[in-house]
Amino acid sequence: MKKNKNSFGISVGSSSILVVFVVLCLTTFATLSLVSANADYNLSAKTADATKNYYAADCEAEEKLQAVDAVLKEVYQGFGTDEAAYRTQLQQDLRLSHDCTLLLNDNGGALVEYEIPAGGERVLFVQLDISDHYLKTDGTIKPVCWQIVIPSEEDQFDDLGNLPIFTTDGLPG
Amino acid sequence: MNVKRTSKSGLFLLELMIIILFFSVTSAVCANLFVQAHQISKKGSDLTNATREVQSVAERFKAVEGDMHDLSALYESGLVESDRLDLFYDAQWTPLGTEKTDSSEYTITVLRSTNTEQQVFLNALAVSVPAAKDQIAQAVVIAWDQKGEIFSVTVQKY
Repeated sequence: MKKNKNSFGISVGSSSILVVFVVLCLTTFATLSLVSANADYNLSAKTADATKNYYAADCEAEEKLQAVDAVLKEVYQGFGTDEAAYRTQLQQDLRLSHDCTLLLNDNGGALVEYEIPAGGERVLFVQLDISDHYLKTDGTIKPVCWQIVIPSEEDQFDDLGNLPIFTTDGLPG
Repeated sequence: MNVKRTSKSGLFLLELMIIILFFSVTSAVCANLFVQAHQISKKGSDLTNATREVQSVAERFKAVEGDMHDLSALYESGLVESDRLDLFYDAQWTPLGTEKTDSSEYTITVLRSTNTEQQVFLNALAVSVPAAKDQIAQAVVIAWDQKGEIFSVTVQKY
């Protein structure tokens, strides 16, 4: 009578299953690393584009600053003796030729504001203090504000600069 | 009576051969994917570092109002050319100064605009520098390596 030997060798199919699992893991990790690297690169590219757009807007803002300086000198030469006429002409020239806004306060301060698009929803908002140059032949122009703003987001803030998370009745926004 | 035993070794050998073939093909594809991921990751890292350093140099150019001698003094260097400044960085984007060394891998070049538009060659890379505008200091700040341009901006200061 022959004894039945129990064989404990590797059966057909078990190595296939093992290789399938290993290949699945390898493929998953390879795909994950590729997707992750791509996502990081896209973020880097977006940041680089935003920086490039900022400097393009910055260049335009510097040219506009030069134009504002030239307009101030030119208008003073023509209307420097009459303050009302000077103010009117200056406002008109700045608005029509250079899309700038002139702001005057009661203390004799004068500001010029303009915005330069900086890609997407972003704009470069520039505010210049021209008080030293207002109604004078020459003077310094001091940038008071030179920053990127997103106009659509600004409307959400209240006067104190807070986001409306909860209203008085306790419900969100 | 002879009992014929069907040998399972042949089937197992065939299965092993198919498995090895399948594994070698898929592992080659996965290795390729890993290499691509590494290259893309390095490209993204270079772009991020180049953007940061170019921005820093551009802001210094604006701070010195376009004076290349003052700009080179900020980097503790004597200016050789009046309208060009080279800054060298190693593989980890560590600044190496204005002198090229064996470990220099990346370069940031500041090209100040002159009265006429000019074409400057940085190794094989051709850079167009626009003409300067009246009373405005202008420069092209470009980060590059042996493969070409990584990032560049044009900066102006009135």
